Amino acid sequence: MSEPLLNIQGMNAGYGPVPVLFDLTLSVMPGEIVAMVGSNGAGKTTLLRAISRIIPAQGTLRFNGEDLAPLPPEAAFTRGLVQVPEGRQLFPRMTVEENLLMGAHLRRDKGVEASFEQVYTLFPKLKERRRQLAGNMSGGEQQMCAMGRALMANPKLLMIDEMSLGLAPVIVDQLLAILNDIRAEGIPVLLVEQDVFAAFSVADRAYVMETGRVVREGPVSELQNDQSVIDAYLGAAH
Amino acid sequence: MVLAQILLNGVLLGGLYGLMALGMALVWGVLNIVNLSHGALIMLGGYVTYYLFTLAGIDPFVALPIAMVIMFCFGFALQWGVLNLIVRSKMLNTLLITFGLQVVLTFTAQLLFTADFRTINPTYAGNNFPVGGLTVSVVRLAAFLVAIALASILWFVLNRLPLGRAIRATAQNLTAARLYGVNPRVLYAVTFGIGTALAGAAGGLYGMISNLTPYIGASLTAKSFVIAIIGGLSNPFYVIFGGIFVGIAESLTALYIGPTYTDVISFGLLVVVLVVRPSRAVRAA
Repeated sequence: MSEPLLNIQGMNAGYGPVPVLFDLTLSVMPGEIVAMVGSNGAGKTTLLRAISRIIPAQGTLRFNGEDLAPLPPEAAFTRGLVQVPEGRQLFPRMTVEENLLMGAHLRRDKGVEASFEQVYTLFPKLKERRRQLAGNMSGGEQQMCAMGRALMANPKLLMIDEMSLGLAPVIVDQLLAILNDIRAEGIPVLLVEQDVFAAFSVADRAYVMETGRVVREGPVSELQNDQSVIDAYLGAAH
Repeated sequence: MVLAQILLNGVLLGGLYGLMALGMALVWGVLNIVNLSHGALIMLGGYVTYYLFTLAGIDPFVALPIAMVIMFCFGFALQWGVLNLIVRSKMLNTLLITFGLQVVLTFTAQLLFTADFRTINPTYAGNNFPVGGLTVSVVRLAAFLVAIALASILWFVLNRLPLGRAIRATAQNLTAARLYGVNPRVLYAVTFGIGTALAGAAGGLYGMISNLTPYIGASLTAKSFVIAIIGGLSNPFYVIFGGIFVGIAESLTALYIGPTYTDVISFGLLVVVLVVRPSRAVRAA
């Protein structure tokens, strides 16, 4: 078994004196889609902030074999830890193309054109709309634009916060299918989701988080049959 | 014919007015600072150009880009050292600190440059040429063209260069801009530097057309404020149009009502715009 791309062990993090994450362990292997699920307030977004080094955290945080803990937030980004933030956070009065270019803002390599091609292949709709203002698009198109912008940063790991939030189920299904395409391009995905059903439909492995602690983890095939997970998140219909 | 001449004068003066407001609109839109010291920075740019002309003997239009570079550095340092403390804070804080800055700049200028009236007076200052019965002042026409050129350059920088894209992105969504590697502290300082450089250019041109004293800042801030609101903060050319609009309105007022009423008209226009299109005042770049 190869070394995990992202390796977190015993992480504690919070806001000032208020602890949010307790002894958290998480790993993402190359080529994996990993889901981190949990309800509101479980600490999912805090986890992403801690990984991105925006808030301080104790414990092991290794990415691609390198210790990220002593590095500033920019370093996490330039090493390929790229986030699609909750609520898309687009630049509303800029065109789709300009939004995508902002994703590549720090890149000086020759690969930007290739990334454009990659994004437009994954999201043909963005190519159609590339001259439109991002703020005038539908929620689903905005989410595509936010994901495209993140891909323009040439990520080694794509972290997506609440991808399904406020989107129609049919749009969520389309986006989930695209996650598989992104994985096929060699980019692993850490999907942080409230919609457990959606997350399980695409992820290989998942972690279930409650009040800042990981309470269950394992392959999705196992978790789907775990009675406590079914009762708490998947409901009787499943 | 008198009317046509007045309109022409208004348009040419209006271009300069637009340039005065350009830097203020940029800083307002991106940093959300209504810079009350903007007029004082215009004044300072005027003196820098004046001394480059009188002491170093550089033609004022050649001195203008030099003054802009000096003013850029000054603005960058000001933002880096002082204004970054209050950027994105409450409007009252930004108003207080920039008002204080305006007072400090005004009286430092009085100390350094004395309160004497100064005019940047190159040999061609009084030259005119006739066009279809109208008289065109060479300096005023040149000032107008410089204003248009600088607005075009600003538009190009904002809309076509990565720096400008980052400036607009930061104005629209600071969180996301940070997430994708924009350093707001540097970006704000560069933006304020550009705004100050534009103020410097406006000051140099103002010194060729009118008189420089250390005290012109406050009224120029007020005028820039009016034009920035009329023109909006989103497009440099709209700001220039706003300036031309105010320039024409003032010229017509001076002709038909009396020169003392020009401020009544420009601030009256402000009230009208705020009543008719209040969203203009709050829309950022």
